[in-house]
Amino acid sequence: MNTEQDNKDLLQKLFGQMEEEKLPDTFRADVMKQVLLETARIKKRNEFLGLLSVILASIAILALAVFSFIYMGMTTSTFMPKIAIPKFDAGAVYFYSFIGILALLLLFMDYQFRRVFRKKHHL
Amino acid sequence: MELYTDKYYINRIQSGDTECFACLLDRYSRQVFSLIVKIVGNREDAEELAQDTFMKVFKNLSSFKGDSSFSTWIYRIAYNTAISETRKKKQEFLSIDDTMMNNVSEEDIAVTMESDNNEIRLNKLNAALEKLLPDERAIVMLFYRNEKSIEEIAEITALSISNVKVKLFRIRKKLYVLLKEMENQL
Repeated sequence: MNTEQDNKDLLQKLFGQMEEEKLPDTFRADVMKQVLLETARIKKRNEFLGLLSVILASIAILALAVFSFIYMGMTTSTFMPKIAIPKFDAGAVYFYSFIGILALLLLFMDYQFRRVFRKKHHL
Repeated sequence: MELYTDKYYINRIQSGDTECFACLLDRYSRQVFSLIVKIVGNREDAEELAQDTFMKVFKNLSSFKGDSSFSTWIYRIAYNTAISETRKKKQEFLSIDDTMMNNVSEEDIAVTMESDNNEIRLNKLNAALEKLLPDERAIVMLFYRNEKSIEEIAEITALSISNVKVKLFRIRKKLYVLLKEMENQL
């Protein structure tokens, strides 16, 4: 009378006795390694997307500004002062080079003196 | 008693504590691996597929809305991953016609199997399971081994509840036929 239930119980009992498959020892570590790699990849992608969105937003703002100026009929001379570029003086280059070399020389001497001082006082 | 719920770990993972995934892994990896081994019938493939399953779980964790239990959701991913793999490989399976299935008396099986010791019974059951189709093995494992309800199996396999019931009935019959055949061969 109760065969269906008995058989269900029989199969239930048998399946219940089945041992669970043993996982390979490295399984947990392998999966976690992949998870951490995936996390790093997602983080990198998010950083890239963040940077890209900032660049795109900046370009959009600049483009909007340029478009607005053009739309309002403005040119660079409207809002930018005229800048006079001084003539190139070759004599000044020699003078500044001399000062630069002198500064580097003094810096080097300072470095050497400090080294000798540290050695002498065992610092 | 479990100290923390799955939801707790999911929230922790989603808020950036990825190390918590190890806790979910400890909780479900053996069951998932056992199910996949039974479906694909190969430990090496099963290990790779179990890893794929857990990576899919991790990547899609944000899409888990909690409509079903977390274990059902994981089993669904594992089932789909394993079944897709078996479809790639051509395998031959035994077909049993309906008349043969109808001729087997369930009482006979119960009586004959009761006379065997546990080890022999388990060996016979494993041999019979190997002759079933991968999706049939999955359904019967989920029902008996993982103790999933018909509704949960329907959700895991994306079948209707009535379809699962019919399949389960046929699988049981198939198992009886196979076990009976084994008995006759002895």
